[in-house]
Amino acid sequence: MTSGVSAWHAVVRAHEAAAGEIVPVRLLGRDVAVWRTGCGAVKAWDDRCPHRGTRLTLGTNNGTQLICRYHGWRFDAGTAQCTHVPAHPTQTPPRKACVASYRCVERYGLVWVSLGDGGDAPDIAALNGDHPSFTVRSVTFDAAVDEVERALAERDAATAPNRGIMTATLSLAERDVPVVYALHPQSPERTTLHGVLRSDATGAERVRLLRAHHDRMKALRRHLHADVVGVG
Amino acid sequence: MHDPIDDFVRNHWHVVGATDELRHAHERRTRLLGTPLRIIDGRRVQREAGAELPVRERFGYLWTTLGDGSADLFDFAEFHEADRRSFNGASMAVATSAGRAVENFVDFGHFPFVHPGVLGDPAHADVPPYEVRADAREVVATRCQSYQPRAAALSGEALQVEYAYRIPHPFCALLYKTNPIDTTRCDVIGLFVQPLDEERVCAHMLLSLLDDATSTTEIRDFQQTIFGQDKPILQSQRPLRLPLDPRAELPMRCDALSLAYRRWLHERGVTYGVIPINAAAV
Repeated sequence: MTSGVSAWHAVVRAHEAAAGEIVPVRLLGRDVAVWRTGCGAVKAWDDRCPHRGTRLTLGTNNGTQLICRYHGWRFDAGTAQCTHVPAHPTQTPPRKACVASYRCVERYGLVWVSLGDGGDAPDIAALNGDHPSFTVRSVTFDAAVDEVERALAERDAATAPNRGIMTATLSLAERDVPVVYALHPQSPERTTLHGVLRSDATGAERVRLLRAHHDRMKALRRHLHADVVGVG
Repeated sequence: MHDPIDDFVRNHWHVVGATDELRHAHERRTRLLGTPLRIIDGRRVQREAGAELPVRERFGYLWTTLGDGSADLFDFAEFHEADRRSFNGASMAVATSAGRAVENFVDFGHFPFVHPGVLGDPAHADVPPYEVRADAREVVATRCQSYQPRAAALSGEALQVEYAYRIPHPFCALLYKTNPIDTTRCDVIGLFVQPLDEERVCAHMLLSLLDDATSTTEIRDFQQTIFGQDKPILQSQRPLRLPLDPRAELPMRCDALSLAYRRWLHERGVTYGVIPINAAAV
């Protein structure tokens, strides 16, 4: 995978961007609207109506179009082109009435966005094949992506098989469970970790895994925010 | 340091509060154009350091200026009619520029979508052509036709109403709406935007109505509901400052008034809270 703006970044857990949803996410300082069409396709658009700069995430997802809250302009899922301006219903909207859109795929239970050309879709060896896996609650830190990366490497022996991806293990009494963290740089000061656990655990074992993940995130937060909260 | 306040904005009178509400406080702190101010006994305005600023009372509001006070302040004849009720309907803090707030107020094309079932109906969203003219004093739009399911607090039924707008001040606008009962006369609503700084305002809404059946509380509740629907839209707009370049956004025919307002600000040299034409992107 390539780095910087053209890289693929996980931005939200796939089930949180359910059909009919429009989810506001921030990626590398940009506001992005992630939404899912009625056919199940995920879309990532600039969160800004070209007409008056209003956030599209305040609007409506009707399954095939995003409709701006301010003046009801409709933008087609396929082309991101405005197809209808209600103030002038018989007029063809100008060609420039088009929302900037980004490459977007769903994989490993996460929605991935590239602000550039993206290259090949994200490929994480640890999650390929038939291994059952599930995503865990995403956690956001007031820290730069490199700081989070360094802390994960130092504290949790995480390694980076791909840029923006870290793998580690969660150790339970019975066995070690592989876990993949996708680093999501919201801005230079804010980073979200999206975690995928490679496990088929259910019931009490799953609860123990979730607790272990939660404890690790808590410790990581304490470490990264030590300057802010004054504890080490 | 570069002073961001242009002369046109500096020399205008600006609202700092409704006199009724200021009267109760010995001292009230506020800001105007980034300048911290003290309002004493609801009548006097001072800079923090103590320098006294010129004041005027008009339309039930206290106005002040960072200029020398020689500028005119606009008026409207209807306000002085004896059978009219005039009062402050709302003073609402909004994290946006004054220009964006004024533009929202004079934009009736958004009613069907932001105020559905109240001021507009998505099934009647078309905006027929209306007339716009501008001169050195003001921008005026007339014959603005809008389909309203519930045109005012007191009218329960749908009406095709006609609006007119005046923008006689960089950050103030007046809306003239045909009265639902006496169709020869107008209710007037004024939006007086107090720029706290370039990206934060307090928007004061004057209601000057012929309606004497509805209580002040009911009318205020109605206006504040409307205002509450606009606020998240306004705060979401990017850039927050009003771009004056007509190519910066995508105006359609229904945006003729907004285009004229932006041009009017440009021609008067306004730079405060706007993105001037040819300025680098902010």
